Amino acid sequence: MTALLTVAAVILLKLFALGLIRIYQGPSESDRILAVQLSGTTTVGILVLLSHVLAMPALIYVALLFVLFAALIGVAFVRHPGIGSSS
Amino acid sequence: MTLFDSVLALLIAILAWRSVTAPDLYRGIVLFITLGLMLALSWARLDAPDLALAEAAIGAGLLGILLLSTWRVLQRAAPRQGSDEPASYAVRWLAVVGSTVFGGTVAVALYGLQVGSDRAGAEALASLDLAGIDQPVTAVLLNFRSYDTLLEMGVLLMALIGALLIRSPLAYEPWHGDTAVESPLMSVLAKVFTPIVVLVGIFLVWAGAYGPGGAFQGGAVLAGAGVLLLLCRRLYGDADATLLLRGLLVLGVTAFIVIGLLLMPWQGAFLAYPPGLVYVLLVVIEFSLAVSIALSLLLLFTGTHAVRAVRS
Repeated sequence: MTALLTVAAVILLKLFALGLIRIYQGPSESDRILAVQLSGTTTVGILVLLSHVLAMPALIYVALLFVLFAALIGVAFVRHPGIGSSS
Repeated sequence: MTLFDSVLALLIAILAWRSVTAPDLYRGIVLFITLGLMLALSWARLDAPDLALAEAAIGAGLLGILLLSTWRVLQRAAPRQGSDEPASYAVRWLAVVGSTVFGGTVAVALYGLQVGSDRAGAEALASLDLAGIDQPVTAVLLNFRSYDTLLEMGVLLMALIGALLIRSPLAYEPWHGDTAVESPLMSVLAKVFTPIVVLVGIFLVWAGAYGPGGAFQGGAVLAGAGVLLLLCRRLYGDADATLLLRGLLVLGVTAFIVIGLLLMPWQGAFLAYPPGLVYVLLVVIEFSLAVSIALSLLLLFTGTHAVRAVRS
């Protein structure tokens, strides 16, 4: 079971590397931030797998933090922090 | 796992390289956030879940949000006057020499390290019973090396004061529009999502007593909740600080010093805790530290002296 989960984590990491192509190529800003969100989701998946493989339950909290901050990053991308209305 | 580690190391090196050589600001920011994700994974592989939490909350999370918001402000601002010419050759060579000397010194220092000579760590683990708290990292931070943590809080305050002096504010005016007619997503984020973030933050501070977590990680998450409210226009940065707010900023340092001094007549030493009360005292200190840290980080984000709620 552990071997299977390790293989799954390696595959997810390689998918993360593939997602980097979209982050690098873009072309638009939204493409890039969505690719970041995708890599964040992949990282959450890897962390959940690692918490089981390495027997470190605390990694679930790290995954939880990434989920929370992924939403915050999305808001920070669309909102202007200063005055006036923003799109 | 070897394959996993080598792919991870390769990705970190590539991302770090690309994030400093990115052709424009936005790409650099995006790559930096992605680098934070990978760094958290590497801390997890190095058996340091505490650092993975800190990296997730501060490195990838808060810092990413700060950079994105700064980028938004720069984008909206008028195009910068002045030249974008690269620095002169002399300056560049100076930077090369400086980095090489620094890198070389670090390499020499690392080479001199002897593997297996971490007696302080072994001693801390062996005397964990004395600390009165199960989590080794918290025991070291708040009990064995509490003086370091106290000074660290002072450094955070100094950083905040310095930043407020030199930088221009990022979020500084109340939102005059009706928040109800704004994007419906924002009110859901402010009313439903923020309490969840606050809850996770409090949980992380409390978790520091028995597992990975603690004041810094929890405080960063609480600051994240504040930043969310700022971006949703429920809070705004204000120039005049109230006494209460200043009090909360120094609460961590004050609680630390007051508890340390009050117990001195009985314990005979500064910051020594009686065995029976250790757990309660450390939790009290941890929560007051978290409040100060959260507020400091939030004010570092706004760049103002205070934050205020928008009256609706």
